[in-house]
Formats: sequence, C-alpha cells, structure tokens
Amino acid sequence: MENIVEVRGLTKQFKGFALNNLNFDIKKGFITGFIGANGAGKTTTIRCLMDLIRADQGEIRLFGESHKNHTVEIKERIGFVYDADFYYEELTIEKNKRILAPFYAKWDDELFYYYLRKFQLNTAQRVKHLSKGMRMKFSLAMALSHHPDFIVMDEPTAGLDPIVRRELLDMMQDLIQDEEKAIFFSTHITTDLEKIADFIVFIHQGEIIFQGEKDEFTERYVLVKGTTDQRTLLDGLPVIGLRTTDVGFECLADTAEIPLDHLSKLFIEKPTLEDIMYYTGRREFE
Amino acid sequence: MNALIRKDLYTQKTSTYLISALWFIIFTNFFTDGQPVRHVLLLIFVAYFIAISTSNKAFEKESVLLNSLPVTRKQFVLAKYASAIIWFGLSTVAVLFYIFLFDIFAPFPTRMMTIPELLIALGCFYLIISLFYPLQFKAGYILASSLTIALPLLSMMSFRIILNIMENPRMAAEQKFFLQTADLITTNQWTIALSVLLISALLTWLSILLSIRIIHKTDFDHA
Repeated sequence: MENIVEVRGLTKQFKGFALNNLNFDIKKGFITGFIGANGAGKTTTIRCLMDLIRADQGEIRLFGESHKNHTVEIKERIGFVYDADFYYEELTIEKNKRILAPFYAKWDDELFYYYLRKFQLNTAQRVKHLSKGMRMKFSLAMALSHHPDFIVMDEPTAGLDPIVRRELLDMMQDLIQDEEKAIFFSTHITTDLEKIADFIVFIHQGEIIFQGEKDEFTERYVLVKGTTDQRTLLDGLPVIGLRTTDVGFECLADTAEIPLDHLSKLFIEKPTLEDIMYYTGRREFE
Repeated sequence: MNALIRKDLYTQKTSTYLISALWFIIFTNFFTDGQPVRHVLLLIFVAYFIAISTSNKAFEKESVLLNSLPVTRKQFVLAKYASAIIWFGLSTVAVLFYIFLFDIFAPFPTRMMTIPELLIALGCFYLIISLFYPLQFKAGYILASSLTIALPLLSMMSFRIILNIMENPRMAAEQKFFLQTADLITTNQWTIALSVLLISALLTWLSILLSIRIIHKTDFDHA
C-alpha cells in the first residue's frame, strides 16, 4: 500500500502543550480517521501537515516531497476542509470562488458548480448567511473542485445535524472509490469513524497511542468488567482508566501489554472507539 | 503571486474608499489652498490608509486560509508589498483628480503635482509601509496600525507648527530657515525625489527581508 503521507518524529512545543515525536502514515485509497479528545493535538498536527505550523523537529513528507522545497506542488494536490470559518464571510459564494480559484492550476469551474447544485447552494448567498451544514458543504465544494489527491478535513462533522453528517460520510466513501485519493479526517465523534474509516490514528495528549487498521485497533483493546471481589485480580496489571463503583469496576486493557489469559476470570467485551477514547482519557485521573 | 494581489483588490471594502475621504478633510479641509506639501502628505496617507485596510483585524484568520493555498510564504509577503503600488496608483488618480477640480473650478491658487512630488510621495509611502508590515507580521494589526497612524498626526502637527512660525513676526530667524529650506526643495526637487526614492528602496528591501524572516518562523495557529 502506497503512503501519501509519512510523518516521522514530528515534535512541536507550545506553552503548556506539545506534540511529542509523532510517527504515522496515511495510505492512498483509504479513509484514515484521526481521533483524540479536544486539545489532544489533532488540529495542530493537521496544521503541521499543511505547513501552517512549523515543526520544531521531525519530517513530514507528502507525495514523497517535503514542504520546504515543494510546498506549492504539494498544496496543489490537497483539498483542505477547515475546522472553522476561514472564508470571506462578507462575500458571496461566487466571489469567494473568484478569489480562491486562481490559486489552483487545476481548478475546475464545472465541478465546482456541480457540487453547488448537488449541495443546493446558491452562488449569490453570502457565506455569513449560510447555516453550519451549508458552510461545511461550501467548504467541501471549495476543497474538491481542483481535483485533489489528498483530502484533509479538520473536524468536518462537528456541529452538524445527523442528516448532513450522514451525507458527508457517504460522500467521503464515494470519493474514495477510485482508490487514487486518500482522506484524512479528524474527529472526536467516534461513531463516524466506525462507519467509514479504514485506518485509525489515535492521538492523546500530543502522543500517538495507536495507528493501524480500525479493526486491529478495536481488537487490540478489551473492556474488562468485574465485581468488587474480583478487583484484586487486576493488581499489578497495567489496566487503563480503571473506574470503580460500589458494585464493581470497569477498565480497558491493552492486550499487547496484558495477555487475555490473565483476564480469563473476568467479564471482557469488545470496546467501541468511544470506550477506548474514554478510558484512555481517564488515565490521567488515576 | 498575481492571485494574492488580485485577492487584495477583491477583498478591499467599499467603506475603506469612503472613509479615506476623511484624509482630504484632515489635510486640506476639503478646500485645498494649493500648497504642494499638503498634496504630497494627502497622497501618502490616503495610499497608506487604503493599503493597510486590506490587512485588517482579520489578518490572522485570513493568513490561515491563504497559507493553506498553493503559495509560498515568500510569495505571501511579496504580494503585500507589490499590491501597495496598486493602492498608491489608485490614490494618485484620486488626489490628482481632486486637485484638477480645484485647479479648474475653484477660485484658489493651486497647481497639479509635479513628477518629483509624486516620487517623493511614493518614497515616503513605501517608508511607512516598510515599518508597518514587519510590525504587523510580528505583533499584529492593532499594534502596527496604532504605531504608524501616529505618523500622519505628527505630520499634520509639524505642518501646523511651521505655519504658525511663519506667521509669527518674532521668529524671523526660523522663518528665514524655513524659507531657505523651501527654496532648496523647490530648486532641487529631482535630487530630493531621487534621494528619497533611493533611501526608501533600500529600507523597503530590508523590510521585505525582515518580513520574510518573520513569516518563515510564524505559526498560523489562529483558531
């Protein structure tokens, strides 16, 4: 499988927050979900990929090149959907297009208007008058109309109603059909990823906890439950996010660290992505 | 880079052009008395005002958008300095038209600006721009515009002080100095214009290098 993106040793220090030695790949022809809680470092990592934030250390290669010498060629091939409203709010959709289209050598007006029709967007509407869902659709039309090979979306589904969210997810799946493109999208809504992601990159407090196939991710972890009496069975085991109640306990176990036969006397079940995020997030409260 | 320059033209607000009419009031009270220095100052600050209005408070937000497009950071900086010439051109047309109207229709002694005067205005305009952009890239729009907006005020105050001195019968020595200076400027307009342009070009070049250096290190992390 060909890598569209290779990140090696990416480190970036901010006041009170750091991306710490990130290593991950994004594969061509697949949808890679980038998950992590708010403030985990998703947007910072994406902005490093876009060269909006400069890394202190490490290397980022997109299409085999680095931003240092090939930023124009790289960005020409990326469709970027932002996490906030960065377009010209006061201007209409048409004027935004007129301003931004000339930046792309392969801009396709026909494709842009096709997306507008598909999303039922009116060119005369000002961006500030669009609803959250409409803005996302407009942003998507802008990002896709220059035939990008790599589509990066920063929290595209946040704040969208279920119908628009579903439409967006369906569209991502349509886009990936030709196996020539790759989609990388960050979210903290894990059910979106369960529907469409092939690969997962999980970031927690600026560190990559896991990267690999989605199924491998959910199979690697188990949700462990037991009664209060059984609590001692966990002594000495590096369980994650242990939560005790009056009647028992719940926690997550990484089977790479704790073999399943150590847990055979307890009740175990397959966790959802949300379970993994939740218990990993609880780790700091232990 | 052309797309970046065109972007500045497209995104300039109509209100900026209307508000820039204020400078005509500030510098000439809307009735020019024909003093060339007023026209030079007017041109410099109308052009400056329009130029910095494209880099308004939304600059940080816009920088995220622009730097995610296929442009280099160097092009991003150069486009700012390049589009300044367009704003100067537009302002020149407006100021010359304004003087032309007075020249033709008003009962005031006035004359069109000479080429050296236009060059002096261009040089001074780029000197202020050269201060503004590195400040803005480093410290933000508010600080950069606040610091540089003091310049037209200082110019107007200095101009008023000189006028008062010229009308004060007890300041003969100072009057003589200013008359000699005015004489010198009038007779050596081309030398002064070319000197201002030369200094301005040098400082603009240094300013561009500094701005590129600042932008190269900038993280566009506006949320």
